[in-house]
Amino acid sequence: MKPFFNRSALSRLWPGHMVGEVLSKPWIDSVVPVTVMIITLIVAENVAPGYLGGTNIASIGRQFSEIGLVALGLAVVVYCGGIDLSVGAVYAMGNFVALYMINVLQSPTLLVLAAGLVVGAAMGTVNGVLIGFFRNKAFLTTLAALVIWRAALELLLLANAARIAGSNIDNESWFWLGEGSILGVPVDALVLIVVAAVFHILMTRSRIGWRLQAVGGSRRAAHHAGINVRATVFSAYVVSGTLSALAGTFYAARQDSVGFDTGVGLEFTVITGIILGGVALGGGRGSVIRALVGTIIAFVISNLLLRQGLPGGYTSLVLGVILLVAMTFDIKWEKNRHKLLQKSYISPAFLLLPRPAAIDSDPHSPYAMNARLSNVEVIGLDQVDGPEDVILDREGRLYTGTRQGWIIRFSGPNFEKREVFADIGGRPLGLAFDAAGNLVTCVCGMGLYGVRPSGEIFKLTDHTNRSWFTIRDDSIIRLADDLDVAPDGRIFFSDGSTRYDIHTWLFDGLEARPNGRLLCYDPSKGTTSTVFNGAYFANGVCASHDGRSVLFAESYACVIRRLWISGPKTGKVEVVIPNLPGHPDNINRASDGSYWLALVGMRSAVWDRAMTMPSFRLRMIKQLPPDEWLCPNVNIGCIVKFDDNGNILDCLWDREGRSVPLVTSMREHEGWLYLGGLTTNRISRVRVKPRSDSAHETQFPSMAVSST
Amino acid sequence: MTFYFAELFKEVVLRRPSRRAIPALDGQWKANEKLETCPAFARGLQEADAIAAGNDGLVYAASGNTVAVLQSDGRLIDSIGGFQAPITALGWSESRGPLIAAEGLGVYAIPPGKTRELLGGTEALGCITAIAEADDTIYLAQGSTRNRYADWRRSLMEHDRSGRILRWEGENEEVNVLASGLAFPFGLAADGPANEELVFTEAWSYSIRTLKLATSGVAVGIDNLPGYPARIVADGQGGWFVSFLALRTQLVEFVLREPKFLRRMIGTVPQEFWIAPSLSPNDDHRQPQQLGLLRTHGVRKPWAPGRSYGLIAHFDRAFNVVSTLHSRADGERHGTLGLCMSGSRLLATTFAQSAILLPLGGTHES
Repeated sequence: MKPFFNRSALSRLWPGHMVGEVLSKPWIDSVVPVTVMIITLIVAENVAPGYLGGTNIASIGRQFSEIGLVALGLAVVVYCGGIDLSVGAVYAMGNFVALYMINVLQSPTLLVLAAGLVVGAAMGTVNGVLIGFFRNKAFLTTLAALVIWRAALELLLLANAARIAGSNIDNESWFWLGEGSILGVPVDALVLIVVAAVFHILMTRSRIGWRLQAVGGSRRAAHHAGINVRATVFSAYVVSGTLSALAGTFYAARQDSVGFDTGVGLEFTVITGIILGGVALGGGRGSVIRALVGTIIAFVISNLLLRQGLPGGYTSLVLGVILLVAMTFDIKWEKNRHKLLQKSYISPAFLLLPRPAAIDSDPHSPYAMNARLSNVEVIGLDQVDGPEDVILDREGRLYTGTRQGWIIRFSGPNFEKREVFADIGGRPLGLAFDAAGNLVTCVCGMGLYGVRPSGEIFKLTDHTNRSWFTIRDDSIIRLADDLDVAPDGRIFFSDGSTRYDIHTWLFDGLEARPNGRLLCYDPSKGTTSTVFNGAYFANGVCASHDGRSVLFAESYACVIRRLWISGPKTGKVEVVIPNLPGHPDNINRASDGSYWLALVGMRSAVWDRAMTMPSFRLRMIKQLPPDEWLCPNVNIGCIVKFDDNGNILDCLWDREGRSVPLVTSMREHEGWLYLGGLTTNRISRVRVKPRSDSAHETQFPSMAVSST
Repeated sequence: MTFYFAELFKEVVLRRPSRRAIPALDGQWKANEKLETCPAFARGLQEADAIAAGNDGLVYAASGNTVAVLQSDGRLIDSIGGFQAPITALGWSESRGPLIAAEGLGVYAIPPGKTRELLGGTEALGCITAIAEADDTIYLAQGSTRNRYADWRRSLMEHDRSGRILRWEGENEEVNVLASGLAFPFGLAADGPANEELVFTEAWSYSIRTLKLATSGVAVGIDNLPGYPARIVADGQGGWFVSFLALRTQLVEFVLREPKFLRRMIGTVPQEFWIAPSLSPNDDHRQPQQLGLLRTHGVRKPWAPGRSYGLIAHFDRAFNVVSTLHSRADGERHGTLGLCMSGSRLLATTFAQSAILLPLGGTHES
């Protein structure tokens, strides 16, 4: 008796494939910092009730905004592969300059702000010139700068502290800068938000952002790519200096106090923050948001510790420990993330394939083994690399797509003339002619492309509608495989898998999840839509003889389905052949009203058994190198002929597997059947009809008329 | 469902202790084409398996239910038939002539000038894989007491440890067990004239072992071989030639660690289509495939993780490998089962081509 509860069958519902998809998202790096931030805030609210309340937020918001501005500047430097230890000193210098100008010189607020920015930029320039152009080491240079600015500040303070403290200011706009707010948001917080937004756009969407990342990732590679590395590094330090001084100006407006300890240890808090946020110390990885998230964590922790009345030493101690932990985690994460992804991407599921018809034991089986493909004529031996599909035009010229991304054309009485008809790139697979005589092809990795008779290439589509509930962006057409043109001009084509591509298409079989789909491109509207989702590797596509439905193959479920495209059953999908003994590939119309189907490989009993044991396959994937993996057999296949009701009419085998090493497609033309194979080095042809009785693959009447 | 995280956890966090790796074909094991290109001694046998050379200059080769008798130039001159079961092992005795083991029927001798006689006490012995004689005593290797010789795949997949080394006592006509609980002893040879110990191969533990006759103590000569050792013969200079059934592959080793899958595979799939070593490189469509085995441009890579392989290794007295002869994954001479010395010539049978090869000491061309 069958068990009611089948654990293996449930594995199909288990979304294990999402683990890999989530891990391959760029935002995955932010998950840990954001989680830590949320936990920190919850703890803060519990330790100090009202911590997240409006009044407290408004009060610590001002403090945080100053630190946040410094963090943004430092994040830019770190992102670019450097470090700036002088931010605290520049911050203090900004504070001093602002207070000196407002108190002693009685300057207007705008001038004070501008002066702060200029002083900051100037100090950043010193760092930038030394590190960017003279290529000094960032760590020592900025350490020296820190000492020098501090010393200079001390001398300036000795001379001016009394004058600053002794004067009275009466400047409304200055006070507003320190205490005012717009719509309840403190001025400096607003500035931080604006700066962060601008920086986020610059870093992710602009040329300078990409350059910073490139230089941070690898100076040498960035140099080779033509990026001005020195100027890029220089600009990062200028930005850092400017923002630090700006933060110092806000501090001046808020506190109106000069002291030797202003900004002491600030650089440490900020570095801890951005490392916590996941801005990599090595450069090239990070974001504005993450820098701020990390800074919030560091700030809240140190702020809380101060509130609890702990001596200042504790704050430094805790921050130091946090920095060490965060750095260690960052290094481990960066090193192991790809391994984790590699180990977890393929996520096998349960697939029960019914026992197929026996091929050898039963001579009356429609699939009975024979040697009808053993004597074939070979065309273009070693002149084509992987002719997945073949097609002939009205003049009897033979076209095929190859691994180099070419469409090769053979012509002449014996196909002895070979030429590159079009160089599309990608990996051209399925081929079809549309009504205008254009060659339409599914290009794996690119989408649906057309080639005019003149050889001119044009794009039809490269994306479809995005599904609502997928993690991976499935609007991309990863594995466009085969196509056919319906009588109304619509092009139906298959996307083999949304998770794998041409190099890994066999892994999709090992995973056995319905990752494939059938798409439709409507040339009259120029739109692409998904018409059937959830195919176990959608492969061959063929419009039926009456033009009212489309047949398509699911390679790893070993079924042929039919999608109705007109008439009362439009949109309905039904099974035509349920249980093939092999993996179906391309389908094409035969001249006698039936269909040709290529079985790229045959199922084995062991394979079928392994399909029902996902955990077995998972362990195999993890423990063995790919070359050792059990995989769908694509060494021996055959050609099958079937009718509209799914009856198998005929079968052509190459018993030895020598003359036709692999067959993925076939095309009937004037009594010959032309055969192509995804990984072969030849096109073969075999006569399937006597010379007198020859005919084309049937064309639709409408197409025959319009193409003349 | 839980398996998913459990496996991930084990693999990434726990870092399971490394399994004993299959040694790479390196150093003296480095792959070559020597077996693929060596001369042939005879062709056209059916399922050539065990082979033995007599002092009469004749060569005896098992071929299904019969024994082919060949002259020293490879010409077939006779065949010994009439056995009701496949011949599983051959040997030669000075006094008793050719020794022939038939599956489940026992061991026969054909003394010079006499008719075939059954060695008393060996009746109903199955899966005799090798026969050796020393000092007029006959020793037998029995691969398994649970499985027939033809079911060697089942024996491997069941982790069968029921093999034995036997001694036939001619006087009492009985069989004594010298060692038992062995993982398919496949080859057996006596250690020269001193006759102190026997050397045998244990296929499913990938090792060559020695058996002290005085104490019946078994010791490891060499283990963790890269393939499943089959027959072993003395090279006449203290060393040994060993033939290999096939190479170990990671997939087979993996499957051997998967009891649930093994149970289902053994229960529902015919033996020849299991994930298991094979004796010939035939591409049957019912066989399981591996990624590395797929043909590109109609060609199979010689370094593919093949199900079948041809390999003969030469070991010195201390079981250091001296040289090896290979027929690689893209070759044809796979399933090297039988091995014997005929004078100074080494003869080997390949199951895949049903031929007898002359890997060493051969004079005529293939």
